[in-house]
Amino acid sequence: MKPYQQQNHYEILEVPPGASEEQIRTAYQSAMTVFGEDALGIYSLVEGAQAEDFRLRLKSACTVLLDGGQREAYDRALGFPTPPPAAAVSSPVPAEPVDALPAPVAEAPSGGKSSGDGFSPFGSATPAVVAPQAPPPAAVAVPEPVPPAPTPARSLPPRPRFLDIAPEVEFNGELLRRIREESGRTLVQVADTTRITRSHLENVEADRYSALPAPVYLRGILVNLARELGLDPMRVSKSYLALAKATTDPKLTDA
Amino acid sequence: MRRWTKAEAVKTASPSPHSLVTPVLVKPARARRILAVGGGKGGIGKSLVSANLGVALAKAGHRVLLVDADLGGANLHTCLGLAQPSPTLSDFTTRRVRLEELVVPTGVENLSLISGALDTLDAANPKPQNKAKLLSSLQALDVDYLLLDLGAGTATHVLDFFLIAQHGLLVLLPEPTSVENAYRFVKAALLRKLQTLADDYGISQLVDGAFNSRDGMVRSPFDLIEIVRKRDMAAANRLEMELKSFRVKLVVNQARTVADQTVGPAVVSAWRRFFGLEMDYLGAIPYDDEAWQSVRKRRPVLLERPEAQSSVQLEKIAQAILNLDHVPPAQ
Repeated sequence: MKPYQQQNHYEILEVPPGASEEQIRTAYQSAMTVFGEDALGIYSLVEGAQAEDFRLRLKSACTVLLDGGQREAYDRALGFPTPPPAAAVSSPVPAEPVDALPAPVAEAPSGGKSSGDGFSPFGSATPAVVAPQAPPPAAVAVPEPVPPAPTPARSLPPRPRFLDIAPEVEFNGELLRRIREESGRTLVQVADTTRITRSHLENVEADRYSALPAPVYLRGILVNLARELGLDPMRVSKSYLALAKATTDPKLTDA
Repeated sequence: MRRWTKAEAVKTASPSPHSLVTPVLVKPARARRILAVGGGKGGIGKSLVSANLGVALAKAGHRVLLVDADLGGANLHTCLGLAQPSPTLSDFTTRRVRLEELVVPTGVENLSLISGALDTLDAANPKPQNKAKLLSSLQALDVDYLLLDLGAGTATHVLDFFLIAQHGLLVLLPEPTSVENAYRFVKAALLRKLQTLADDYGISQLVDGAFNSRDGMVRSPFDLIEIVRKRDMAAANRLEMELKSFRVKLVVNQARTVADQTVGPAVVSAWRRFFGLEMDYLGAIPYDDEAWQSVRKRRPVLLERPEAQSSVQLEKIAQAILNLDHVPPAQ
């Protein structure tokens, strides 16, 4: 198991590759119930913006996997050896329309970048319900334990964990701004999802070191921003803080 | 064939070795199991769950000892209809009385009780050396199931009681306040566990303040493992195993509506997807008049109204725990 931001469409829906349309719909519905707005079960664990982001990813996964053509292309990109079973490929238009999304939030399974090592930090999801519970009425979607995937995720080619940035590159505000803009996100959107104030973001991107908070706080900001942009948080914070220090430390600037 | 109780089985075992072939004795050795019932918030039915699970496990033939570990607010004896017992846990800490001498019968076969500390002001805050001794003495008690009824909050001694248990039960009500405290409690317990491992993995500084702030480095176990993996792959794998072994059992209490039935599975799902860890859902106890009446009568609902819906669910939860321990179902 890995953070949901790194999961592919199957993983985020907790369905096996080759899942039927029925399975995908059921998984989608129950996940949407669990992570719905004001859902009690996630109270205080998942913040509003995060839940919203998660729902968008679920929607996007559902849209792709319920569209025969899109799903085939997606499976190919994931490197599945065989096309999905005939049952899973159906009309290209999903019977149950899911809003088309402006920008696909789930990571595209593009190849490249080597940092993934196929190691899954938390193993596969296992059915966690122990007691036979009286099944709730069908109208209420309860997450079903997911049957084990026929093709283990391990067989997939490693997917990039972070964006591929050459190791010698320094992360200054300008670079962070460009990466953000290329990802199609506005300052406001990033501020919303990361809960970093917009002025901090602006100051980070403009390299206005003197206007930024103390390094201990700045680091938190950088880590979160990096995570949001799909960058290695440790690398970004280290690099940026080093630049900030070199620029503001009088001993160094004198030299 | 009559099913043997554990006590009989043990009695028979030593004098006549041939009895080893009886079905009762070939089942996996019932290692002493510790159950802790926590939940962070007060008034969510931890004591009710403890008392009734104790009754259910005792009725299934296991020797059960209930321990009221709610040092500052002990009332497990009241749930069982007992007068305030005179020797309590505070006698262990203050007068060095052995734990065995504090055990009182409950009137239910196979079920006994060590009452919680009462009245003394410092009872709720055991000294570290007393706490360590108490923990090790509890673990050494010769019973089939030791059931610890924990207090509210996330004080370290509460977390330590929770962490010595094989089964940490998390009780929650389907209400935001309880859900919030349940997450807080389970995160605090995980952090406490990580603190004890911190030196092995060189993560002490990361553990302090983890899982808490939005801007922190470590917002979930994913981050922690990721950081350790950069330094040491093998250590990261070991840490991952440690984290995976932290597997709380969830009980929803006072479920009133159909929607309430979905809260347990939702918490399990959210915890897995956002925190990367598993929980086992044991079931929901419905809110019914019988349970409420029984509390007022100071009797476990399982004894007072065994046919009530709440009793039926409590029995099922006890059975689920036995299943986890691979104890075959009672006949």
